[in-house]
Amino acid sequence: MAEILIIGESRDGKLVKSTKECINRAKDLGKGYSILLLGSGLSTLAEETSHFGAERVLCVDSPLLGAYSCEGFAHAASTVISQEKPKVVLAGATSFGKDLVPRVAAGLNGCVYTECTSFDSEGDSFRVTRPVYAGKLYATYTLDPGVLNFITLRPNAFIPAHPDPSKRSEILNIPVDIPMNLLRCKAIEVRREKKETPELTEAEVVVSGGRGMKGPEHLALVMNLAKTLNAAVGASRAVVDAGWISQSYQVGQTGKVVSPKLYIACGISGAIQHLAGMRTSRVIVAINKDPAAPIFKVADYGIVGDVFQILPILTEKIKKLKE
Amino acid sequence: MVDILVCIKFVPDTTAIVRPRADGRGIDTSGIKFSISPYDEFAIEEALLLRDGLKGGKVTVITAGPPRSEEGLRTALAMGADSAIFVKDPALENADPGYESKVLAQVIKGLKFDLIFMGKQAIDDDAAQVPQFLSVHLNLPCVTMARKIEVSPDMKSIKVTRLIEGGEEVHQSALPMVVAFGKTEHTPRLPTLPNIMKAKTKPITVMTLGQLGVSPPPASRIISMVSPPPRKGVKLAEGDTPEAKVDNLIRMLREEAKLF
Repeated sequence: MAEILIIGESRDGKLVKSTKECINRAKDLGKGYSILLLGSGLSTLAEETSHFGAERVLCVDSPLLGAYSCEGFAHAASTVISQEKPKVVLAGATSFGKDLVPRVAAGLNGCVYTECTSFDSEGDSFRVTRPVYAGKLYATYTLDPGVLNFITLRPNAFIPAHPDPSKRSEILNIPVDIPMNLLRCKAIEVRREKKETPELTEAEVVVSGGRGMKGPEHLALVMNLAKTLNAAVGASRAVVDAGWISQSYQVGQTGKVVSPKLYIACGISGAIQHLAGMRTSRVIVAINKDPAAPIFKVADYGIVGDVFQILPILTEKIKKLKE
Repeated sequence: MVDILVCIKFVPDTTAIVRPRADGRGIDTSGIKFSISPYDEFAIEEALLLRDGLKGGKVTVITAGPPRSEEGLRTALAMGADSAIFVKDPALENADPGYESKVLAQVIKGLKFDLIFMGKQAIDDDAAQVPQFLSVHLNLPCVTMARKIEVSPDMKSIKVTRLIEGGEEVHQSALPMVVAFGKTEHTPRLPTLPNIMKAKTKPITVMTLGQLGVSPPPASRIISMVSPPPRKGVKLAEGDTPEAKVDNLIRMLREEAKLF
């Protein structure tokens, strides 16, 4: 039995990036791992997943798992975990992983470490580091070998694995009886915005706009730069609260936490709530007309200047560079 | 009539500067301002709106924490909650989320309620797991990262909208259940002066871990807590014109940061 069990996640029938990040981490640790897929009609996804070097791809394929339900998915996952007896269960800290993993862990008397930014092993023992106090501190924990440990990895904090079509893991369907009366709560509707830009938490580059953009009509300047960089668009709380853009774009403490390779803050002052959502980005660029703006304290590079002048020039120059 | 329990945590304020304690296993709390965790404030606001919208019911706030947490309960009462339950024990400082959820479950087991609201995570340990653990201990469904709720007129079911990557997911659930809120559409109200005065006489039931029959918390698994390495400091792209500044920025991003 594999030492690590990864709970896989799919969107539009494909494995999501954060699952591939979990796979790569397990691989780098040199531990054996299996991947668990939960859902309805999994054969194509299982085939895709079989090329990622897992000992086995385990599938719980049931029409009752067609829509997400905390109870149904937790029941299926717990059943497989009880059979497989891994030391560590690993998943991405996505809206799916963060909801499901503690639910499963609670039923199995496990221990959960959420949104880890490092996951290491020394012989048989494991150790994780995760941001606490909104990233103001980092806490390192040694895992208790006496309990089942569950770890979720912060999206974008690890490198994703690539499939190797020449290899194929065994695919195993595990029948799990899911009683209908177990599902007291389930998803009845999923609405996704049609976005031309990548998902905020998964993007390599994020371009965010703040109050310095002066109005919703000017956010196009931010979006144009984002499009040129194939970046996700983000926004500060002030801009979301003012109704310029929807909540799903908010970066910060009451919004999303991002850690892209490049974060460009446009007209964002850098309130502490905002820093909580982007301070783990690898390179931070700030464009702001106020040289005293706190954003420059965390930025690596900056331009003190008018976003209305700088952004169109920056967009044009990057466009030329990409050609 | 609706009975809503709201679990809250009193934590270092968003703006507080937190430093690790000398032993590295917790933070130095001296001189720090504490507040109700922001997601719990959204949970309180949603509970008050639901109670008032249904023209009746009761909102009870619950916390398990060290003595200072009483101030958080008083603030919640001043926002409009009807009563409070306080598991007061110095041992609860830095208690792990698994333990916190057991304590809360023990308190709630004897209570009558339709809904349990709370924040999706507290902004101290950012564990984001007490709602799910609590719901398992109480054998209830749970939806996390909730943004919007809609309770059916007969009070038998609820629709909860949660944020997911690139959109929203609407869940339908039977009552009772646990709803763990992220940011919602309703900004939490600030207590007014008359309400702060009124809150002083609202009832807080106090109990200890011993009275609840819960054993003391296990030792923390934290081996170190450190501040993140300081960033190198900003390099400003200089230039006489906006164009020259942009050229300099792109050069630095390419040559030093190895981007593009």
